[in-house]
Amino acid sequence: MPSGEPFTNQQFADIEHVLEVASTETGLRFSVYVGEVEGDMRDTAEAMHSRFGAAATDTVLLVVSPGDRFLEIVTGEGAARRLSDRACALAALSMSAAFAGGDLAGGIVTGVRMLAEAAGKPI
Amino acid sequence: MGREASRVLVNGVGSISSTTVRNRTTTRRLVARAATVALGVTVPVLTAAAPALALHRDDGGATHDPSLGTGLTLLYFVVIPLGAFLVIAGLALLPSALSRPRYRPGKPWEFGARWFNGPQADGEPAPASSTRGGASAEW
Repeated sequence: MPSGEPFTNQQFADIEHVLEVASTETGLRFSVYVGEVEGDMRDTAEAMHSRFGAAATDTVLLVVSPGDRFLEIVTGEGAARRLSDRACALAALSMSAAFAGGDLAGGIVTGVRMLAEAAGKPI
Repeated sequence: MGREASRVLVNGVGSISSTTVRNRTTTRRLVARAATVALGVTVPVLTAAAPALALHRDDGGATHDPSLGTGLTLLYFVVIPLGAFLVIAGLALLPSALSRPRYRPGKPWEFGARWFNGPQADGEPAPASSTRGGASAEW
Protein backbone atom coordinates (compact mmCIF):
# COMPACT_ATOMS: atom_id res chain seq x y z
CA MET A 1 0.00 0.00 0.00
CA PRO A 2 1.58 3.29 -0.97
CA SER A 3 1.91 5.42 2.11
CA GLY A 4 1.36 9.12 2.20
CA GLU A 5 -0.41 11.75 4.13
CA PRO A 6 -4.04 12.36 3.28
CA PHE A 7 -4.06 15.36 5.60
CA THR A 8 -2.23 18.65 5.51
CA ASN A 9 -0.27 19.62 8.59
CA GLN A 10 -3.03 22.04 9.49
CA GLN A 11 -5.74 19.37 9.20
CA PHE A 12 -3.58 16.99 11.20
CA ALA A 13 -3.20 19.58 13.93
CA ASP A 14 -6.93 20.35 13.85
CA ILE A 15 -7.86 16.70 14.39
CA GLU A 16 -5.39 16.25 17.22
CA HIS A 17 -6.57 19.45 18.82
CA VAL A 18 -10.25 18.58 18.67
CA LEU A 19 -9.52 15.12 20.11
CA GLU A 20 -7.60 16.66 22.96
CA VAL A 21 -10.30 19.23 23.67
CA ALA A 22 -13.04 16.58 23.52
CA SER A 23 -11.14 14.28 25.88
CA THR A 24 -10.52 17.11 28.34
CA GLU A 25 -14.09 18.37 28.24
CA THR A 26 -15.83 15.05 28.62
CA GLY A 27 -13.34 12.91 30.50
CA LEU A 28 -13.84 10.24 27.84
CA ARG A 29 -11.11 9.10 25.54
CA PHE A 30 -11.74 9.96 21.91
CA SER A 31 -9.80 8.15 19.24
CA VAL A 32 -10.00 8.24 15.46
CA TYR A 33 -8.74 5.61 13.07
CA VAL A 34 -8.55 6.48 9.39
CA GLY A 35 -7.55 3.82 6.93
CA GLU A 36 -8.28 0.51 5.35
CA VAL A 37 -10.33 -1.94 7.38
CA GLU A 38 -10.27 -5.63 6.58
CA GLY A 39 -13.15 -7.97 7.24
CA ASP A 40 -16.44 -7.02 8.82
CA MET A 41 -16.46 -3.38 9.74
CA ARG A 42 -18.27 -3.68 13.06
CA ASP A 43 -16.23 -6.69 14.23
CA THR A 44 -12.95 -5.08 13.31
CA ALA A 45 -13.95 -1.80 14.94
CA GLU A 46 -14.91 -3.63 18.17
CA ALA A 47 -11.65 -5.56 18.11
CA MET A 48 -9.77 -2.29 17.72
CA HIS A 49 -11.80 -0.82 20.56
CA SER A 50 -10.88 -3.66 22.88
CA ARG A 51 -7.20 -2.90 22.29
CA PHE A 52 -7.60 0.04 24.62
CA GLY A 53 -7.62 -2.48 27.46
CA ALA A 54 -8.85 -1.18 30.77
CA ALA A 55 -9.51 2.24 29.28
CA ALA A 56 -11.84 0.77 26.65
CA THR A 57 -14.95 1.34 28.73
CA ASP A 58 -14.55 5.10 28.61
CA THR A 59 -13.30 5.19 25.06
CA VAL A 60 -15.13 6.43 21.97
CA LEU A 61 -13.53 5.08 18.83
CA LEU A 62 -14.31 6.41 15.39
CA VAL A 63 -13.26 4.10 12.58
CA VAL A 64 -13.30 5.73 9.17
CA SER A 65 -12.63 3.62 6.09
CA PRO A 66 -12.55 6.02 3.14
CA GLY A 67 -11.91 3.18 0.72
CA ASP A 68 -15.11 1.38 1.76
CA ARG A 69 -16.93 4.68 2.33
CA PHE A 70 -17.98 3.40 5.69
CA LEU A 71 -17.60 4.71 9.20
CA GLU A 72 -18.22 3.13 12.53
CA ILE A 73 -18.49 4.68 15.96
CA VAL A 74 -17.85 2.34 18.90
CA THR A 75 -18.54 3.42 22.46
CA GLY A 76 -17.34 1.53 25.50
CA GLU A 77 -19.62 0.54 28.35
CA GLY A 78 -18.96 3.66 30.38
CA ALA A 79 -19.02 5.96 27.39
CA ALA A 80 -22.27 4.47 26.10
CA ARG A 81 -24.02 5.56 29.30
CA ARG A 82 -23.35 9.18 28.47
CA LEU A 83 -23.41 8.90 24.73
CA SER A 84 -26.60 7.41 23.36
CA ASP A 85 -26.61 5.50 20.10
CA ARG A 86 -28.94 8.17 18.82
CA ALA A 87 -26.34 10.87 19.41
CA CYS A 88 -23.72 8.68 17.76
CA ALA A 89 -25.98 8.17 14.74
CA LEU A 90 -26.45 11.92 14.44
CA ALA A 91 -22.69 12.49 14.53
CA ALA A 92 -22.17 9.66 12.03
CA LEU A 93 -24.70 11.21 9.69
CA SER A 94 -23.01 14.58 9.90
CA MET A 95 -19.59 13.04 9.30
CA SER A 96 -20.73 11.00 6.33
CA ALA A 97 -22.20 14.13 4.77
CA ALA A 98 -18.83 15.87 5.03
CA PHE A 99 -16.98 12.80 3.75
CA ALA A 100 -19.28 12.56 0.75
CA GLY A 101 -18.18 16.08 -0.10
CA GLY A 102 -14.53 15.03 0.09
CA ASP A 103 -13.86 16.81 3.36
CA LEU A 104 -12.26 14.08 5.43
CA ALA A 105 -10.62 16.20 8.11
CA GLY A 106 -13.59 18.55 8.42
CA GLY A 107 -15.96 15.61 8.90
CA ILE A 108 -13.80 14.09 11.61
CA VAL A 109 -13.52 17.38 13.46
CA THR A 110 -17.27 17.97 13.25
CA GLY A 111 -18.08 14.43 14.37
CA VAL A 112 -15.79 14.51 17.37
CA ARG A 113 -17.13 17.91 18.36
CA MET A 114 -20.72 16.68 18.16
CA LEU A 115 -19.95 13.56 20.17
CA ALA A 116 -18.19 15.59 22.84
CA GLU A 117 -21.11 17.98 23.03
CA ALA A 118 -23.57 15.10 23.36
CA ALA A 119 -21.49 13.45 26.06
CA GLY A 120 -21.33 16.65 28.09
CA LYS A 121 -19.17 17.29 31.11
CA PRO A 122 -18.02 14.46 33.41
CA ILE A 123 -20.37 13.84 36.33
CA MET B 1 -11.00 89.23 -47.22
CA GLY B 2 -10.96 92.85 -48.01
CA ARG B 3 -9.03 95.37 -46.04
CA GLU B 4 -12.28 97.00 -45.14
CA ALA B 5 -13.69 93.82 -43.61
CA SER B 6 -10.63 93.26 -41.49
CA ARG B 7 -10.80 96.81 -40.33
CA VAL B 8 -14.37 96.17 -39.40
CA LEU B 9 -13.34 93.10 -37.43
CA VAL B 10 -10.59 95.00 -35.66
CA ASN B 11 -12.58 98.07 -34.88
CA GLY B 12 -15.85 96.32 -34.29
CA VAL B 13 -18.04 99.04 -35.75
CA GLY B 14 -16.80 101.08 -38.69
CA SER B 15 -18.39 103.22 -41.25
CA ILE B 16 -20.17 100.19 -42.74
CA SER B 17 -23.57 99.25 -41.42
CA SER B 18 -23.75 96.40 -38.85
CA THR B 19 -25.73 94.00 -41.11
CA THR B 20 -22.96 94.09 -43.73
CA VAL B 21 -20.39 93.34 -41.07
CA ARG B 22 -22.38 90.34 -39.87
CA ASN B 23 -22.71 89.00 -43.42
CA ARG B 24 -19.01 89.28 -44.08
CA THR B 25 -18.09 87.58 -40.81
CA THR B 26 -20.38 84.66 -41.64
CA THR B 27 -18.86 84.28 -45.10
CA ARG B 28 -15.36 84.36 -43.62
CA ARG B 29 -16.26 81.67 -41.13
CA LEU B 30 -17.75 79.47 -43.87
CA VAL B 31 -14.64 79.77 -46.01
CA ALA B 32 -12.37 78.93 -43.08
CA ARG B 33 -14.47 75.89 -42.28
CA ALA B 34 -14.38 74.67 -45.90
CA ALA B 35 -10.61 75.10 -46.05
CA THR B 36 -10.13 73.18 -42.82
CA VAL B 37 -12.28 70.30 -44.00
CA ALA B 38 -10.49 70.17 -47.38
CA LEU B 39 -7.08 70.14 -45.70
CA GLY B 40 -8.17 67.59 -43.14
CA VAL B 41 -9.31 65.23 -45.85
CA THR B 42 -6.45 65.58 -48.32
CA VAL B 43 -3.39 65.86 -46.08
CA PRO B 44 -3.72 62.50 -44.28
CA VAL B 45 -4.47 60.72 -47.55
CA LEU B 46 -1.49 62.25 -49.28
CA THR B 47 0.74 61.52 -46.29
CA ALA B 48 -0.30 57.89 -46.24
CA ALA B 49 0.14 57.61 -49.98
CA ALA B 50 3.56 59.20 -49.96
CA PRO B 51 5.48 55.95 -50.67
CA ALA B 52 3.46 55.51 -53.86
CA LEU B 53 4.79 58.82 -55.09
CA ALA B 54 8.41 57.88 -54.44
CA LEU B 55 10.84 58.25 -57.28
CA HIS B 56 12.72 55.07 -56.51
CA ARG B 57 10.34 52.19 -55.74
CA ASP B 58 11.43 49.94 -52.86
CA ASP B 59 9.70 46.55 -52.56
CA GLY B 60 11.05 45.67 -49.13
CA GLY B 61 14.66 45.08 -50.02
CA ALA B 62 14.78 41.27 -49.93
CA THR B 63 18.00 40.91 -51.77
CA HIS B 64 19.37 37.79 -50.02
CA ASP B 65 18.46 34.16 -50.50
CA PRO B 66 14.77 33.82 -49.48
CA SER B 67 15.17 30.18 -48.38
CA LEU B 68 15.49 29.67 -44.57
CA GLY B 69 17.40 26.43 -44.78
CA THR B 70 16.52 23.15 -43.07
CA GLY B 71 17.87 24.05 -39.66
CA LEU B 72 16.09 27.38 -39.36
CA THR B 73 12.88 25.95 -40.82
CA LEU B 74 12.88 23.21 -38.22
CA LEU B 75 13.65 25.72 -35.50
CA TYR B 76 10.92 28.15 -36.48
CA PHE B 77 8.17 25.71 -37.34
CA VAL B 78 8.85 22.70 -35.14
CA VAL B 79 11.09 23.42 -32.19
CA ILE B 80 9.65 26.78 -31.14
CA PRO B 81 5.96 25.78 -31.43
CA LEU B 82 6.66 22.51 -29.65
CA GLY B 83 8.56 24.33 -26.94
CA ALA B 84 5.74 26.84 -26.50
CA PHE B 85 3.25 23.98 -26.30
CA LEU B 86 5.29 22.18 -23.67
CA VAL B 87 5.77 25.33 -21.60
CA ILE B 88 2.04 26.09 -21.60
CA ALA B 89 1.13 22.48 -20.86
CA GLY B 90 3.62 22.46 -18.00
CA LEU B 91 2.21 25.65 -16.55
CA ALA B 92 -1.30 24.23 -16.78
CA LEU B 93 -0.33 21.02 -14.98
CA LEU B 94 1.82 22.73 -12.36
CA PRO B 95 -0.87 23.52 -9.75
CA SER B 96 -2.23 19.99 -9.57
CA ALA B 97 1.27 18.54 -9.51
CA LEU B 98 2.23 20.73 -6.56
CA SER B 99 -0.94 20.21 -4.54
CA ARG B 100 -1.23 17.40 -2.04
CA PRO B 101 -3.30 14.43 -3.14
CA ARG B 102 -6.62 14.65 -1.34
CA TYR B 103 -9.43 12.28 -0.66
CA ARG B 104 -12.15 12.04 -3.28
CA PRO B 105 -15.21 9.90 -2.61
CA GLY B 106 -15.25 6.84 -4.81
CA LYS B 107 -11.52 6.81 -5.44
CA PRO B 108 -9.55 3.99 -3.80
CA TRP B 109 -7.83 4.87 -0.55
CA GLU B 110 -4.12 4.99 -1.29
CA PHE B 111 -2.80 6.27 2.00
CA GLY B 112 -1.46 4.48 5.01
CA ALA B 113 -3.64 3.98 8.05
CA ARG B 114 -3.51 6.56 10.79
CA TRP B 115 -4.75 6.18 14.30
CA PHE B 116 -5.20 9.40 16.22
CA ASN B 117 -5.04 9.07 19.98
CA GLY B 118 -4.71 5.31 19.58
CA PRO B 119 -4.15 2.69 22.29
CA GLN B 120 -0.81 2.16 23.98
CA ALA B 121 1.05 -0.83 22.69
CA ASP B 122 1.02 -2.61 26.05
CA GLY B 123 -2.73 -2.27 26.64
CA GLU B 124 -4.30 -5.61 27.49
CA PRO B 125 -7.54 -6.45 25.63
CA ALA B 126 -10.75 -5.55 27.42
CA PRO B 127 -13.08 -8.34 28.43
CA ALA B 128 -15.13 -9.44 25.46
CA SER B 129 -18.35 -9.19 27.46
CA SER B 130 -18.17 -5.41 27.81
CA THR B 131 -21.23 -4.03 26.06
CA ARG B 132 -20.67 -1.44 23.46
CA GLY B 133 -22.87 1.03 21.70
CA GLY B 134 -22.27 3.18 18.67
CA ALA B 135 -23.47 3.86 15.20
CA SER B 136 -22.40 3.46 11.63
CA ALA B 137 -22.89 5.33 8.40
CA GLU B 138 -22.13 5.03 4.73
CA TRP B 139 -21.51 7.72 2.18
